Amino acid sequence: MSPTSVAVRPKVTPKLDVASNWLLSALMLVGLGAAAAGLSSIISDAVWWFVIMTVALLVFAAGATVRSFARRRIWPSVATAVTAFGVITLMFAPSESLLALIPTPGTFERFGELQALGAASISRQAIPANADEGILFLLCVGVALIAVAMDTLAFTLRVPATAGVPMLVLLLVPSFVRSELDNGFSFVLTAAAWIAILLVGSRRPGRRMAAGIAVAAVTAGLVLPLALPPLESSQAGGESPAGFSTGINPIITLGDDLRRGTPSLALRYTSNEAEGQYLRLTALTDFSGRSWGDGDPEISPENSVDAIGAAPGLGPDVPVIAVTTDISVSNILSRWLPAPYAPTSVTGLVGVWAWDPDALTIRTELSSARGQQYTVESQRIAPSIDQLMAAGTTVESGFERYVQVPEDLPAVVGSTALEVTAAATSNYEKAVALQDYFRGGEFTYSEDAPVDNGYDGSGASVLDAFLAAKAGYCVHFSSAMASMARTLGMPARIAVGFTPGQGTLQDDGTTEYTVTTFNLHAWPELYFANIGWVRFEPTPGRGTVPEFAPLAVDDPATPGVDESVPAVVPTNAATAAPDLPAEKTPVDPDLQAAGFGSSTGAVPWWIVAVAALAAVLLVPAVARSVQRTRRLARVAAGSAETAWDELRDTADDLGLKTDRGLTPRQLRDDLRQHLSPSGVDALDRLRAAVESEAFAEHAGAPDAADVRTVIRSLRRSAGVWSAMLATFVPRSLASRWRPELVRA
Amino acid sequence: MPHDEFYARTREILRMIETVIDGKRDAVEMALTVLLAEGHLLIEDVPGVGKTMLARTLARTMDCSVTRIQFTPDLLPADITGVSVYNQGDREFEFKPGPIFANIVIGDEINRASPKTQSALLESMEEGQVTVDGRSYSLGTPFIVIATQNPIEMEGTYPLPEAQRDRFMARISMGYPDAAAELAMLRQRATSSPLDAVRPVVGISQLAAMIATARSVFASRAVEQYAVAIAQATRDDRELRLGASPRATLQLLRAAKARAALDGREFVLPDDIDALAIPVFGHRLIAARRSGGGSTGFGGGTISDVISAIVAATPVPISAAGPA
Repeated sequence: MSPTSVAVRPKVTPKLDVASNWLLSALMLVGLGAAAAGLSSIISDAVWWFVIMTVALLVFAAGATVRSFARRRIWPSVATAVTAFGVITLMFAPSESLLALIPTPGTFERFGELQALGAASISRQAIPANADEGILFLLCVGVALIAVAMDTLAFTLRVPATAGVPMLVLLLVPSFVRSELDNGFSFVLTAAAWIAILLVGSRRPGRRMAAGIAVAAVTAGLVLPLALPPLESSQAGGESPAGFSTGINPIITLGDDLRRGTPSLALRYTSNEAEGQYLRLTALTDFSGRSWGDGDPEISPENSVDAIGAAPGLGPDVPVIAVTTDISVSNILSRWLPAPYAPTSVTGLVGVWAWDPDALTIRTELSSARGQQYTVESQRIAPSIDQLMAAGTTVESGFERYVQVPEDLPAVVGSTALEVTAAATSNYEKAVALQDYFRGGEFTYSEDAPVDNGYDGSGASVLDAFLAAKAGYCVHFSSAMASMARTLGMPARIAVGFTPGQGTLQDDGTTEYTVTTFNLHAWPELYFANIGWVRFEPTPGRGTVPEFAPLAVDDPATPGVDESVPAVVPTNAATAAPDLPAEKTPVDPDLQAAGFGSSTGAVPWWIVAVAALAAVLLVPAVARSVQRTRRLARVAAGSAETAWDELRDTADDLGLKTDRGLTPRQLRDDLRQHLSPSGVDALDRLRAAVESEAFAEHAGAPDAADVRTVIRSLRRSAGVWSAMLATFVPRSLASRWRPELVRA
Repeated sequence: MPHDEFYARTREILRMIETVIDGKRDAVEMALTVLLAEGHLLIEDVPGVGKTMLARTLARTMDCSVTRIQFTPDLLPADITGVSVYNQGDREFEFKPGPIFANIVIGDEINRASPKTQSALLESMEEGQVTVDGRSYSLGTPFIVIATQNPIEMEGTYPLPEAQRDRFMARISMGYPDAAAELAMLRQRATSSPLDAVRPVVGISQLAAMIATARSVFASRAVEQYAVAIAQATRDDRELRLGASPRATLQLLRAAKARAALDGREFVLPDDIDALAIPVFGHRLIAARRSGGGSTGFGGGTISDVISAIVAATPVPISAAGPA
């Protein structure tokens, strides 16, 4: 150890110890790699990981190499930044750049395109996302920035402890998208790398403390996410709406929402109809791939919601009932607008919204359904059974895509459909037969069985498992019925939205319905010529059966509801699904009565975020305060050296010079100018105490009150700003961890 | 001798010296420190700033035998140590002790003598004895050499050999007096030599007791570690070709004890080490580069800077955790 040469040649930064330089760089690469591996829970396959690690490797290597010969500390940072830029240019815009490396205006245009591409791709893709070029570009830029930041923090600024912060940011990305902590291994590995960085980077007595704090931090980091779920579920419109907002396939998150411990308020509405409304968010029309998707419809922004086009296929003879629904969305984040079918106009919206002419879903690119209050004029299509029977069995032209099924659809789907509908002649009879098949008692409603047995989702492959197990929830029932209808040549799609929710009679005689995330639902819509799209309800125990599609048998899952008569009192999951797991069934009646008032449990996510951030920012202050309290206790017990350590650190916090090469007298002389007369006296008594303790045969007794006096006096003379800075950003903590990387 | 009596005596000595040497408190205290540490003192400065005056005044405050040797190029070793002369009466060789046989020896302009003569001092300074014609003669106790020399760049000087430089406990320089002190000096010297007014303050036995007291000052393990750390750092430093010898470390600690005693303390502080590092180490270290002030150059510019930097960078062992 020899900090000597630093002081002898203060103008020139001495070269780093070669081993520490490369070892620290390697550890940071490992930590970054581990943190990035955590992204695998939201990005599929692993090629992207190798790509971004190559970027990180090159950046760190550039920093370490330049550091091994550069005399000034700034150059390695410059080298990492230049390398990061060069590598990304070479990878993503070689043809737009001179010699594939030197940027031109075209390079930046290309970067802009890639960024837009990546953003669009993220908003469209389901989890786990496929790392296409746009996402890969964003990943590479992010990792390059993080690598440059880590290198700069650890070497140029010489605080390797803080190199953990960029890694932490990377680690947290998946948890913004998904709530569950399924990257625990990556978490532990990152933490281990960070601890190693601390150990290698610190050669001071503070090393043990640094290691201790690191261990505590990591433990807290692991325990905290476990403690988080109740917090998250109390955030209104928590996970699923967040999923909708990024365009993630709603089917994926729907099950998660239904399985969640407590519901959160989605929206409230009143309408001029006696019964509750099914509110659609989106429709899954495409079943050409492995699973149901929305077919990525092109929605023209000119499709203003002032006047929404006519419902497809609606014939002039079909009776329609005009419905006006006033909807007040609570805290859900969704790009789709909840609306009853078939909407004709929406008023009162904020932002630009447009409608899809096929599915009549209403969507926005930039704003969100959250907090919107609007009125939907819609037509409830109420065909008579005769009209439905008369619709025939032909598939109109233009509707071929609604009967398409994937080639690998299990044969049992088609054979079961044929079997179930053997007696039926018209499409309507077939549809009712299918609905009866699911609601007839053979199938049970279960949110957990599909997950437990591994057939969750809407994919083609899970249908045979579902049909065999005969247990599932709305996703399975709707996708099974829609798929079976398609095999029979009936145009079908899946609507995703909400069941009517819980109605409460208001003073003015209207009924206000409260819809929670437990009301999230999926149901099939079948197309009948000259009538249009008609809703069916195959899920036992959920929702209401349309009046035009009465059941032949009573639904045993809902003994209190006579399904042959359209339900007047809408049901929700809690009341209509007695076979729900016990811990979910009892929804707090008070909570329901209160209508999920804003004061009850619905803590906005940003308050939680700000509180968490504040808590994190307070950590250094608390750590320093605890340290000071413990030290003062030791001072009171007679340790003058501890008193001196505390004084030195306080001065350090305030930005005063506290070189360890200073003797007590020299430090006193330096600090004297910052002290009041009483402070000077106190400091001098402490100086005498520490001198006699450290250097004389008989130790003097320090007075903790003197320490407090000096601290107060120092802080007062430093001014408010410096004192605050010293409290919240105590430099002494960091300097204890600062490495002595210097060798003579 | 108790420490408070020691302190009182040293105050008297200092006051006495200051009647002659005005405004040079630091140099005077440093000289007294070396004296009380029983070390040899080298005063180096340009001619005419009072080197010899300091040496003589210091010697005069002690009631003990004082001799003065003026070093010149033709001075021979025997002129220092003494010679064996044939005694006609006794028909035997008789040893006539040279000026080295005294408690305090003032060697004036020591670097004007040839290296051969200078080296005659070697044995006496280290071992406290003189060997002439195969017979060894012990020198008095205490035995202290106060030498003055001109900077090496001056004409007609021979640099002191490294071995001999190492035998001096400390090297100090006087520096020019400030205007007020110089003015006072003019008035003072107008009529008589102030040296005549200097009276001995301590006798030889008291001097020996004071030296013993200075040696008894407590040096904690932390201070010893600190001194060693500084010495080690001089050996590792790339700016230096030759670092401090173990003898230098030993003398640093001994001088630090004397300084602590002189300050009225019964224990050594790192401040003592800090203050003495340049006087004790300065004349022993050799810079790696010859340019920009030699190793024995005036004021030791480069060397002093290097030592200051080492002292500043060496952590002071205060924390309970020990030296970092």
